Amino acid sequence: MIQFFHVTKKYTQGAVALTDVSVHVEKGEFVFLTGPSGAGKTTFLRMIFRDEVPSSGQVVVNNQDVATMPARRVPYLRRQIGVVFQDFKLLPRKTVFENVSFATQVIGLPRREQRSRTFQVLEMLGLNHRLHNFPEQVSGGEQQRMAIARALVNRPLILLADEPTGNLDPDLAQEIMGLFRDINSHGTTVIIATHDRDMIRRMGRRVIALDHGRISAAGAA
Amino acid sequence: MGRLLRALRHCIRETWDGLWRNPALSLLSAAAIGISLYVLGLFLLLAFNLNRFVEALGRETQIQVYLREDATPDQLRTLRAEFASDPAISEARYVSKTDARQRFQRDFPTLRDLPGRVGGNPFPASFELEVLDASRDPEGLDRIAKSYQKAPGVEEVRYDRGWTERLAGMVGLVQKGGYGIGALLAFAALVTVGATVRLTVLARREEIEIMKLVGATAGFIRGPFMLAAAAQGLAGGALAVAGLRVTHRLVERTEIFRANPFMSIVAGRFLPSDAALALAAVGAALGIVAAVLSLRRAGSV
Repeated sequence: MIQFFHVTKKYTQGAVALTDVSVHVEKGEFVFLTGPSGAGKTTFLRMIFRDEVPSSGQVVVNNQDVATMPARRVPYLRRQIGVVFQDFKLLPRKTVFENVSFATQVIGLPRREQRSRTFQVLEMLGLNHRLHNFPEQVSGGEQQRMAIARALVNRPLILLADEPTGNLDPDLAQEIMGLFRDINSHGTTVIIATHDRDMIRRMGRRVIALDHGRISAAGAA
Repeated sequence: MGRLLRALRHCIRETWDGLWRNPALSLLSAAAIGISLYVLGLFLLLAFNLNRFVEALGRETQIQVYLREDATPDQLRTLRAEFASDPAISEARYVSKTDARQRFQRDFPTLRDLPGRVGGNPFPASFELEVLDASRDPEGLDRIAKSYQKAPGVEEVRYDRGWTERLAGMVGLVQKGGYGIGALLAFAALVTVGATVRLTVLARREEIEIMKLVGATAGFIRGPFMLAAAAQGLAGGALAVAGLRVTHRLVERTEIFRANPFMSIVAGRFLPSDAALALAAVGAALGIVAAVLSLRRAGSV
């Protein structure tokens, strides 16, 4: 599903985010991406939905070479990928419902489909009592779930999450992880970037460890 | 098809919301385009009327063949025959010395005593030649004039080309000036509209970023901005046309206009409706161009 071949990413200022990274993630896999801050986890994720392109090497997602893909194809790649951002990226002037349905509107779903999918995913994430609240009126955990709902509403093949439990209490973090496991059990490939070692140990899934932009270890936790 | 219609509906709804989200900015864009087109329109109006005048003059262009005092009846007959056989001449009218004097006295009543005071009749007899349309261009007139210049009994051949040409030159100048100033103002309008588009993009950059991340196409994101700019341009163009109409009406009503025949030459008629429509369309086009340039400069949109 996702293949990195000798991927290196250098920024113009000379900083190197990734060095010679080669990784395969199979369809339906659940993978943790770990490493200290600045190890290149976010860059790794951003390359998958082409928010970044490699300086050298190749990134292939669902049989498409992401770097050489023409710009007009990028939106269609992104529709296959749900992303939960570390900073959530919610729109402060839209309600919970609107923040999530927004993603369905953008890809041109019929109005009825937009509503039913949004309701469905908000119910699944336990946000159906918050439909008309604005992001600042809900808790951090609920904002997190909004971001997850938006990532899931278009039924992506791949779900990427960047530190999704970073600012949650342990119980809530556990609950969110359970959610990702459920999503994965329905066939969605899931990659989660986190430096929460306890969490990784508890989940017992495959781990890709990055350090200073290089793969330092790979395998099951 | 359904997808396209939905995208279109979304685009129109977003455009409408966008226009009203910041009415002052929308108004500024429309006004910038409106003012530039208004000024361009003033010049076009002037040039259009002058052009009509020049064309009317051109239609009345005649060639005057002045005869020598000592031209003989034989020479007159020969000339008449030559005019009749010239394919470029539709009519040749003889104007006798007496006719010429009477015409002068009729056209300039205040000077009617002048011929008497200078002694005798100073006006020469002449032929007035009506030229066929096909030969009414400068070259055609010149050729006819030259061919009779040296004919026996002819003193001088004249036609009012010089004046017509000078006027046509002036009209060209007015037109060019109008285009020049119009282009300058259009550029200023482009910059203004471009800046407002950029401001709107900046104000919504978070939303645009998220739209891109969840898979919105460039057209989906840019469409509303372009449509809004086109609407502002169209409104500006319509305002310009309305402003020109009002200006024209006001000018028509002034005393100066009624008292001075020159005014009806420079502003007698309003622009034809296709020109007015074109002006409004240019407004819309300016809006779109400004949006395209601005969105391209904003790059990541």
